[in-house]
Amino acid sequence: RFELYTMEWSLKEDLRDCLVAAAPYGGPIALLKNNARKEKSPSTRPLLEIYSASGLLLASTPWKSGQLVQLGWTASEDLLCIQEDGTVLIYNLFCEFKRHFSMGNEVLQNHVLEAKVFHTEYGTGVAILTGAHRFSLTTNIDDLKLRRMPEVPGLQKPPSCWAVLSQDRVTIVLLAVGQELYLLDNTSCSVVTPPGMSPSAGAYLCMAVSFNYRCLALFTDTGYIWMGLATLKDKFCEFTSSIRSPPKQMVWCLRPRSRQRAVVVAWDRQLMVAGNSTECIQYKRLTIEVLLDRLVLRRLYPLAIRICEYLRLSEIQGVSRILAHWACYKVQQKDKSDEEVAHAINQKLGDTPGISYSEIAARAYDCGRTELAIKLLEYEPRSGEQVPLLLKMKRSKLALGKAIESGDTDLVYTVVLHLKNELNRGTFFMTLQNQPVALSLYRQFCKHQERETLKDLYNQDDNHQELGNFHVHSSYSEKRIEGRVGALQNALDEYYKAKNEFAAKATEDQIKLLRLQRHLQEDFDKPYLDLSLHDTVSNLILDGHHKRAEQLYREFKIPDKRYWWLKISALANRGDWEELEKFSKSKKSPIGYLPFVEISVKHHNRYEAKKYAPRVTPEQRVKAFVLVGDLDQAADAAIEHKNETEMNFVLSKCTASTDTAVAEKLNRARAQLLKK
Amino acid sequence: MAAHLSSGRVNLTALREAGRRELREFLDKCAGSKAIVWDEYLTGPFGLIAQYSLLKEHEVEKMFTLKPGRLPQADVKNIIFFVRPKLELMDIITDNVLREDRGRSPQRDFHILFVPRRSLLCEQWLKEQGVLGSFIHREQYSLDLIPFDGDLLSMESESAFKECYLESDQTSLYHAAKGLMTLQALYGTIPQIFGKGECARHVANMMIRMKREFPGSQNSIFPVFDTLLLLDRNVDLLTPLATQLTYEGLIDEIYGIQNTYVKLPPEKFAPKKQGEGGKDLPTEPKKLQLNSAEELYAEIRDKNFNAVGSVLSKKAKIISAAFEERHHAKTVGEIKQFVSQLPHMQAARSSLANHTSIAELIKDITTSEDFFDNLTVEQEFMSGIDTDKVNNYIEDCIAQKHPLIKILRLVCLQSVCNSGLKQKVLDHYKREILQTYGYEHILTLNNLEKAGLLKPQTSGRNNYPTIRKTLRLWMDDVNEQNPNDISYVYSGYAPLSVRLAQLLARPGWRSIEEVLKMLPGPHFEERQQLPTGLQKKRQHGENRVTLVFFLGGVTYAEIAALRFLSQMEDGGTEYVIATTKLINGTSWIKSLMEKLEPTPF
Repeated sequence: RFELYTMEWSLKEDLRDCLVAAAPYGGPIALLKNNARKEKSPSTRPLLEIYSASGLLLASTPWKSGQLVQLGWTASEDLLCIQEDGTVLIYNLFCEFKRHFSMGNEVLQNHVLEAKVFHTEYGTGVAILTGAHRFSLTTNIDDLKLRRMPEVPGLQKPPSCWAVLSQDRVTIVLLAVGQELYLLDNTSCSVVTPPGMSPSAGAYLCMAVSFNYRCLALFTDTGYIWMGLATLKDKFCEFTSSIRSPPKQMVWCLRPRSRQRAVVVAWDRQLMVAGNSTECIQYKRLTIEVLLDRLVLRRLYPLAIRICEYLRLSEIQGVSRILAHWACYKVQQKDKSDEEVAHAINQKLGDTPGISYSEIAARAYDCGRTELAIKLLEYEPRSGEQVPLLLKMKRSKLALGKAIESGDTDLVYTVVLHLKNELNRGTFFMTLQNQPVALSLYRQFCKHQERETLKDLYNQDDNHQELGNFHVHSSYSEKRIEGRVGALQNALDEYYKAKNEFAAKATEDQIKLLRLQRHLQEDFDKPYLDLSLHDTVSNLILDGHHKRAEQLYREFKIPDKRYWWLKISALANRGDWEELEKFSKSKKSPIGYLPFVEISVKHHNRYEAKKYAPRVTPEQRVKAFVLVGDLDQAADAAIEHKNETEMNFVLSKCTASTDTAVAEKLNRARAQLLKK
Repeated sequence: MAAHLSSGRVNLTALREAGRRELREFLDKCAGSKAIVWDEYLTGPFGLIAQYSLLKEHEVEKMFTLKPGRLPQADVKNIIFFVRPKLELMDIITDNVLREDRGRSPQRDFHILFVPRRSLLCEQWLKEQGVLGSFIHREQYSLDLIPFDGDLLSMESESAFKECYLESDQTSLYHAAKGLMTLQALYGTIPQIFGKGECARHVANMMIRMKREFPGSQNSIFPVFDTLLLLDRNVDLLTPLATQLTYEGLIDEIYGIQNTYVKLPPEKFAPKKQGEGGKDLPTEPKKLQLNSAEELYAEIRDKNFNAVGSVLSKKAKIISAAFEERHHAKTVGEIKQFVSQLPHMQAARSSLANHTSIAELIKDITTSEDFFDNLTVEQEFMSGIDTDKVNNYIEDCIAQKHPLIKILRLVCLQSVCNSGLKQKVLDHYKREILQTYGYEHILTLNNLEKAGLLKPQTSGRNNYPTIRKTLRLWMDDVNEQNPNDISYVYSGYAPLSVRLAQLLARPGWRSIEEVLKMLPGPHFEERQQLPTGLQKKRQHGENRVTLVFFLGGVTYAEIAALRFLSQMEDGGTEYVIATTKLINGTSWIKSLMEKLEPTPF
């Protein structure tokens, strides 16, 4: 055993007159002297002092704000000073003011009667008992959400004791009024009875919750102590002491690796330890990270780094973190120039893994040193990290360059939209002009969100092809035909300007077709608009308007071959076999006569099909005869061609029962062919 | 449940597990009962990572599809939106949140899970709508590369090709680079990177940059992959246009495989039980999952379809012989042995029945005259016959108004095989298409031109024959039954993309410098330093592992060709395939079409 350090306390005051708060894990201790004195002359102004756990005075400051009710420490060693009016002031451990917040109007009006600082997995919380005997709390002062707890029915005076509990991520308040114990959660207030509680226990005087919220101890005015689970589901033990007066304090012992749970109860001159020794409890220990944080908070950087090196912590976990903290402290040194500071930081930090130059830059910017921040950002390898800060510092164009470098299109979008709000339209467009990546992304944005801007963008580039496409696209959302034609007319003009003769001609044809369709629709009282040219002609034939079909065929210069295909299938669909035959004889078919056979067969009209089979060219004749079911003629044609493949094809269609003669004929011919 | 992911050379189960872990952690952050509101597009890919049971274990009680209006009444503590970071979706979410009944008690907590990445843009958008504060947790789920099979990863990003090549939006490439970083975190730094194409270059640049951005994250995992090959889809526009002729490729061409599932016409799958006489034919499509977990499927998926029939009949004989065994089982021991094998045999029998049915369905189509004619024209183009004039078959198909996508595939194929069409020929096709299918398709045609699928021959020089000959893209003596070359997957045509991969492995790209210059975009090589101690000492005879990443999509036939190379005895390289999307010619062309719906007058 050896001594680490000696206590250096040199307090003269009576601690009873002071507000005191000690941070967990042997952290600093805060002391507010003279708080109780009512007269506020400057000489007797309260004094806020912060000591290390060993009694070394770290800092002090005269207290100039309002009446304090409670002091407490956050998990990250910030001091919370809770004022009577519900304002909470936050100081760091050098007595430097950081920020403040309010616990809300209700607290302001009714004042703080009592307050408690508590810690949960969400962070550090504050609970207030107001003068109106209501509870208000926040579970995390860094993400302030105030909650007013429900009323306790019939509560006319302050509870004799209360505590904040955290169970299953829900924060609740346990309070005692006489012999009753109440549980307050977000929505309700309920009366609870601890299991195995002696019925003659009497009124509650004091309660204590263990640091990890698992255990609860209750002390009553009969000297009875109940110890059990904070969930009130189980009792560990009970104990009756001979002292019945209210204790000054009752706390759970924090004993690492101890198998015993115990509470210590303290009166003015007496101390009692109560507990049993059956269960094992694991206490969370002060971790290395917390230790390092504490050294860093005390600005003991070299010591922290030595510890990291000694413990061989990875750079990210250890040295880097400490250097980053050092750098953040460094940027606050106002007596050095931007160049000096930036250089000093880079000198020391270099490319140390895990160092975030952007975080250091952010700190510099917070201290009002924008130029330093920009210099520091240059050392940041992650462009993604540079962008938000550059935007914040209104260096948007620089940010755009960095965003593009990163390849992260989301970042580019973010900067582009930022620029859009920041710059006037002309400058904005000019900026994009020099950044093709940003420009394409902005076009995408416009396509989905503001189509009209798209037109302006193309106009700026004289991109007539895209302007033409734009108008074609818009024409389809027009609700009236005049609107559609108008938009298409615009497209036509643009296509001409783009020297895209084909697209211009096609659009011209489209307009012509639309106009024609309107007439057809009026003449025949049938829907024609928005059919394709093919379908328009086809429908005309289907309805027997052959002249009009013919007119469109000529006007749009439909190639003969396609027109014949179109017409024969429309006629077959209509079942107009007479017209089909007439058409077949009108002139020599540009598509031959096999399609006539096929289309008739498709419509199950073999009779008609047979008419065309002989007119099919010799090469296709076998297929045609097979299609119409005339295997005999098919066989003859195949034999005439001396074509084995064709013979086999016909043979494969022969059925044994009906086509024996044909099959024989084919087999003979084939044998003869193979002989040669 | 995911055994097929660990069957390959690289155990992809680890990737899936990482995905599941991340999902669980997020769900547990939102304590209490939950309802998930789904961006519908995500449900398919999510299914490959986690089934409903996992969600249920983490108190997900309800699931809804994201749509505007008031959210359904569900008595849950948390509402979680699973969405892609798209502004359109943010508008819907805003609407949902604003319509939430503020008076309801207890109130429901809102959260957003962005897939695959949290977006500042979207959050800014939500902030402007005044709803950002309503969300307690806003997190990202980096689901970039989803394991589809033991050797296959896909991002399932439908619009990746269109965005990259038409809209110069490289968002999907950023995700691809991020996905590759995740992969390297799990499987080690990939020492060699090769690439061809603009997008490939961009992805490689981002990877190198991302690595530099985190110098501390020194990867101490022994590298599983030796090489990464990044390939732009536009280096090989030809392959996806051709009809795939492998079993899996044809299933995809005809029925479309979505996230490993296929829906088939039910008639062929009617339960064959006595007495029912086929009275109650099922009307719901038959849904089957297709992956290597099914032994038979793993065996036949990559075969040329013409070689599938013989395998199926051989299997049928083996299985019925196995069932016959029961008559020979005399002793209790033998019967016991037989019974113990029964579940496996029954599974094999039902698998065989399913694939026999599918093969019949496909055969009906592949033996049709039109399929044959179409294929003939495709093969003529690919082997360089008559690519410079208007094709009769295409004209006839237009005249008979065959499906537009079929026409576009053929015309684009002809254009690609001729290094662009003569202006007159191109204009003729375009005019025929507009007159037959409607003038609105002018924008689709323009898109195809922008993507380089359809173009006028500008230089007056056709490079395709040189490329075809040098890379041996057309093989006349193809063997469909016992292939000796990758060209079997298209019955003659060897996919250009896979040929590039094959030549990279042996003898190296230096031998084809001239051809590489004719293909678009730069080709390059990068090396990533490995820390000492992680350098591989290859055992004699140990194969290299190459990850081929297709930026802009890959077809099943190309995958089959790479698997064929992996299995070649003297190949020396095994391939794992990654892509932005599994595609076929139809789905690919569709993604490039402009959907114009006229408002009725």
